[in-house]
Order: sequence, then structure tokens, then C-alpha cells
Amino acid sequence: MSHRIYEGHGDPVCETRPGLTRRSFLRRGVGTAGGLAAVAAALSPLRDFDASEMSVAGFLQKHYKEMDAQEMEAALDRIREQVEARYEVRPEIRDIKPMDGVEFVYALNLSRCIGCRKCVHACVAENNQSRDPEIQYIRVIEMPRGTTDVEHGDHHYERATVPDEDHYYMPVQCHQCANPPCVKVCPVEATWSEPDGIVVIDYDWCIGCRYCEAACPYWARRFNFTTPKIPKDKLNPNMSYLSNRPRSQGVMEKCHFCLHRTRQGKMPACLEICPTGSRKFGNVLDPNSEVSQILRTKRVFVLKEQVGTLPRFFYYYDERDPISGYSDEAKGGQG
Amino acid sequence: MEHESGRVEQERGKDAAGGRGSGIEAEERVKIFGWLVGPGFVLLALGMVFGLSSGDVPSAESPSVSATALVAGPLRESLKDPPMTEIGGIEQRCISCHQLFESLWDGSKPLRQHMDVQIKHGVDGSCYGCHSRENREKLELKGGELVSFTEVARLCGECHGPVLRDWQRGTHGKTLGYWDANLGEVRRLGCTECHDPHSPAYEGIIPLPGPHTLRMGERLNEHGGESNRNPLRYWQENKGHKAESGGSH
Repeated sequence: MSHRIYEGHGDPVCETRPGLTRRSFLRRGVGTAGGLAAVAAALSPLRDFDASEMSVAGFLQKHYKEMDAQEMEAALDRIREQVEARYEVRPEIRDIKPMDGVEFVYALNLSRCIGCRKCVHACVAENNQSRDPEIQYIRVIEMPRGTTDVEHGDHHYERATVPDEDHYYMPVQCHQCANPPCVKVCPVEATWSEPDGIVVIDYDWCIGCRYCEAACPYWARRFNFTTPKIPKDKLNPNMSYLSNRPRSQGVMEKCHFCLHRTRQGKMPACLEICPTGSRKFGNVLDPNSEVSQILRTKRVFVLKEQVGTLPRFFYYYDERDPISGYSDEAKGGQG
Repeated sequence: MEHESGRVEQERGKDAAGGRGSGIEAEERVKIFGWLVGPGFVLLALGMVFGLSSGDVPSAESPSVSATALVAGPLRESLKDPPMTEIGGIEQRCISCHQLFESLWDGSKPLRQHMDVQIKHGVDGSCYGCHSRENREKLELKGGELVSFTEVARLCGECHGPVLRDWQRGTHGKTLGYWDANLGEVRRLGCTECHDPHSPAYEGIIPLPGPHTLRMGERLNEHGGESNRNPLRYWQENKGHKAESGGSH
């Protein structure tokens, strides 16, 4: 491109490029300025960068499945410090592994659910979901009796008291599918199915592409569009790596059957709060568990069976309608 | 970078122009385009830096739910064996009174004790449908067998057979504690830990607040304009955004 013109003793006195005119100089200058500005613009989100969210160790952290015990402990230490710095609460955070010979199944009795939404809010409190913007894993859909048109159900029902006698209620949360479309579409394997059937997310590996959200036929996944806000006094310090530790902006989250509780034998928070006993949880590989009994003896169905996701979340009905049926039953018994 | 690409464009332009045989005009055109590339980038960059699309995230604070609404556990306390009840602020056994005073209530006289008991259960309003007349600390089955208050399920099951069967299997009622007896105590709540035996049907309860999140669909209800039902529109209006800025839909 450039030509050197040698004069006299061969010293380079003058270096010119053909076409280095005023015009091309200006043009190149503007182009360079534009390029620099574009780089600055691309980096501009860094103005909001929160250093406490990021560290070299965090950046270099491996995928959950590739971490050994030592690396996991280091990651947990880092998370402990971050949580403490941000929420002024020392969390009890562990990495709890699945148990052998356990496959979790959830069953929900639609004849008993009264739509009180206690499960929704107990879940938010247990799992450190963002309060602003609001993130909830459980949706409760109100539908007219005699229909199952989920698409036209009402999430926003406001009633003085529930249940309304002309409606019934269907809570929907992650179904922990055995054939999970969300796992298939993840381009970075940040979400996968664990041996006990729970579909989990490595929040540190998720890139926030939201493919899984689009793939889920139950709309069970939620995206953190912005940094989640949780009041310091509302933080649940009982955490695990794959479940309810605080998430950051730009990652997906969803119901994980309260694995920090259930992998230690306890019941999920949504079940414990349910005032009607509509929610049932247990090990389907144990033939005497409550969920096994339900699958054997009740009329059970799964939502959107035709899409082939093989959910581990079942809905069932009782033989008779509890609201109108009780008095009949009592009369029949006494008369 | 930009210069290079401009150069390439120029070259391409030259080729194309050469093909058409109007070289000078084409070169001029390319130069004008080249001039526009730089300022275009600058404008784009300025727009990004000064937030023409600042990524305003829809957010709505969820209404706070009182902690008392979220206490897990049995809804009510069932009577133990022997049953105790509070009279005048003092815990008393049933027989403390019923041994002294014979109460032959058969509906002939108005009740003067246990006025708080409202019977909305079954067709037989008499106390002795369930309570033993002889031993007030026991319940009486249809066959005359006396059972303690902790075995109340046997009494209930005499009328509510399918429910008793389901409860025994664990498919009716609430289970607290652990999901496997090998891991910890499985606490299957008894009949009277949820149901008031004198009025067992559930009263309606006040639902906790509904979602303020996005994409929950529009309300299909007869009352209330849908504008304040669609959460996204609700948020936009509250933020002073125009509802017609449909770009964020």
C-alpha cells in the first residue's frame, strides 16, 4: 500500500501514501471516531456494572457437573460472601445431591383446591423470588366448572372469598417433565434433568437466551429481566446451589420442587402451606408412598398430554364433588 | 476497520461500475456512501450511549403478604386423650363438670353450656350422635364401642367411608413432616385438625393477592375494563407511558 521514496543517501525523508488527501484523512478520522464510539456504546452497560456481582473466580467457574468437591466449596464460599454483602444475611448454602432410588412426583387434587393462592406466596418466600419485578413460579387459573380450557382461564380473579361455587382452580407450576423440551433447546446445557427427576438450572452457566421459556408448554420458566429485588428481612437463608440462592439479572429460574427441602426428606413449601391438603408429594418408586397410591387409585391426568413431555406433575379428582357432595354423603349415611 | 470495509465496498463498486461502463459516476456514489458510514456509526453510538433505547424493564412491586398468612401447619387443634377444654380461663377435663352435673340434653330445653357450638353437620342435631352419653371423654361408634378423641377417624368413617379409605391411603388430607418415614416423622393430619367436627365443611377464605407479572393474559370477565386487567398495559399507564407504544408488546 505504501511506497517509500528514497532520496540522496537512502534515508527515508518522506513517506507518502497515494490518496492521503485532506478528504481521505477526514474520512478516516470520522470512521475511527465512529468505531470508537461504537465500542464505547457496546460497553455502555458497564456503567451499571455492579462489581459485587462479578469476580474472576466467578467468571472462571466451571459448569456444575464439571466441578469437583473442592471447586464447589470455593463456589459456595463465593456465593456466601456475595449474599452476605448484598443482603446482610449469612446464608446456609449447600450443594445437595439427589438421593438414590428416589424419583419425585407431585399430585394435585383439583376437587379440593380452593384457589386461595397461599402456595404462590409461600413459594415466593421460600425460594427468594424477586418481589419487584414480581416473579412467581405458581400460577393459579380459575376456570368455569365443567371446562378445562386452560388458555382461557383467569389468573386475575379477585373474590371476597374463594372458592367460587361456579368455578374451580388449577395451580400450574414446573411439571419436571421426563421428556423436557426446555432442556433440549438449551444451547449451553445450563439446564438438565437430575436423577431424581427434578429439572434444574445452573444460574451461573445460564446465558439468558430464553429459548427454554419459549419451549415450555406450561409457561413454567421465568426470566430475570432486571436485578431481582428481595427485601433483606425477607431473604430465606436456607439455600442450595441449584435451587433458591439469589439469582442475578439475565438468568432463567423456575420451580425445582424445593429441592433444598425435598432432598432432605421434607415437603415442598407449597404443600406445607396448602390449607386443604390438595397437594401431594413423594417418591413414585416407593409403592406405598402417597403419590404412588394416587397414581394407582385416582383418576389422574397430566396437562397437555398430547405434547409428549411426560410430566411428573399429576392432577386428580375425587370421586365426588366435595362442595356439593358432602351433605349428600352425610344424608345418605345417616338416612 | 471501517476504512478497510469502505475500501472493499469501493472496490466492489468499481467492479460493478466497470461492468456497466459508467465508472466515474459509480465512484462518486460510492464516495458519498463512504462519507455516510462514519457519521452513521457516530449517531448510532450516541443513541446507544444516551439511552434512546434504555431498556426500561416493566416492574411492579408485589403486594406484601403478611407472614401470618403463610404459617404452615394444622388449621386447628384437635382434642387429645383425655380431652381438655378451657372454662373460665382454666383447663378442665370434661368429666370435671359432667361427673357432677348430669346433662340430659335431648333438645327439649335450650342449651345453657357449649353455646359456641354450632352444629352444621349431618341430619341428627343431637350431641349423642357422636359423643358418648355415659363417658364424656369418649366418642361412641354406631355399634356402641367407645373410642378416644384421638381415634376420631373411626367415628367419621362410619358415614364418610370413601374419605376414610382415601385418608388411610394418604390420598385425602394433608401430610406434614417428611415424605418418607425412613427420613423423619410423617405426620398425617387427623380429621379434626382441618375440619371442625361440628361444622366440617370449609368456609370460604379470602384469597391472597393475584399476580402483577406480565403475560398472564387478559381477564375474561364481565366486570372491569380490560385496560387495568392487562398487566403490561397497567404498568405502561402507571409509568406514564402511552398505551399505543406497542413496540414493547
